[in-house]
Amino acid sequence: MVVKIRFFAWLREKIGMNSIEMSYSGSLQGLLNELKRYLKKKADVIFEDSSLKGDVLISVNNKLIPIKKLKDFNVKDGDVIDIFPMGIGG
Amino acid sequence: MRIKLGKLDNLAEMIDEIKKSSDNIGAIVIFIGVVRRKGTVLDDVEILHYEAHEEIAKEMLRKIADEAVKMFNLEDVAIEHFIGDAKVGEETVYILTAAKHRKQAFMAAEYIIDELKYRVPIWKKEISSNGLKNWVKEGRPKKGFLIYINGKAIDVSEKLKMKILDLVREELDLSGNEKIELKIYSKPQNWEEI
Repeated sequence: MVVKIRFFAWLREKIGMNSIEMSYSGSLQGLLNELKRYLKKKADVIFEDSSLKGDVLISVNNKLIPIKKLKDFNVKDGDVIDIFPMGIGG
Repeated sequence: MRIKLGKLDNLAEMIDEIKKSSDNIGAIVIFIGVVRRKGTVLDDVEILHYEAHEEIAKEMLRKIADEAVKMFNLEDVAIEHFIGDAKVGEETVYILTAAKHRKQAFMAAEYIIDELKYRVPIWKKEISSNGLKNWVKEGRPKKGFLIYINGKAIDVSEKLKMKILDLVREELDLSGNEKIELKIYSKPQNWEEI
C-alpha cells in the first residue's frame, strides 16, 4: 500500500519537501513512527519525543484526525495524509 | 451564506447580496482585514503571503459561520479570506454579519474573526522590502476559558471554570462524564430576546 504525506507552511519549508510517498500498512500512529525514522533530524520539526507537537495537526483525505485516534485509525492505499501547523490567518 | 478563499469579491456587491438575503436585516457589520507595514516580527513588511489547507479551511469557515448564525441569531453571514500575495494596504479578509440588531452583528463579527484566527488552517508569511521572511506564529487568540462581559474578554481561572462547569452539570442534571463545550456571552441590555 502506498500513501502520500503532504506538509504545509513552515513545516514544508523546514522539512524541505512538499510531500513524500511511503509504502506502509497499519495504523496512522505506525505511519508517523516510520515518518519520524525517515526524517531523522528534521523530525524535530513536527515531533516532540514520539508524539506530534501540540501545535501540529493531521488530516487524512481532508478530515482532521484527533491525536487520541492515531493508534486506532488504519491507513488505506491511496490515502493522502496532511501534516500542518495550527492556523494564524486573518 | 457565502464562504470563499482566494481573490476577494467586490465588497459593495457583497453588501448588496447580503441585504437581499432577508428583509429582517437591521444591521450589517463589516470586518476588513488589511495588510499593515509593521508586522509581528518584521518592521518593514512589503507583502503578506497567505497559504491555506483549502479544503479543511473552507469546511472550518462554514462551521464557524453556522455557529455564529445560531449563537447570534444572524440573518446571514459572508466570509472571504484572501490567499496569495497581498501588499501593504490591501484587503485580505471580509466578514459580513447581518442581523436584526447591531449588537448581535458586532458580536458575531468579533466571534468569527477570533475563531478564524484560532481554528482555520490559514498561514501567513511576512516578506520585507529587503527580502527578509517570517512566518507569523503569534497573535492567535489564547486558547482557554474566556467570559465576554460587555464585549471585553476576561480570562477565567481553571478553578472558576470548574465551578461553572459544576453548576452547568447540576443545572442540566449531567453525571460529570459528558463532554461540555461552554461559551458564555453577555446579553446586552438592548439585545431583545431571541
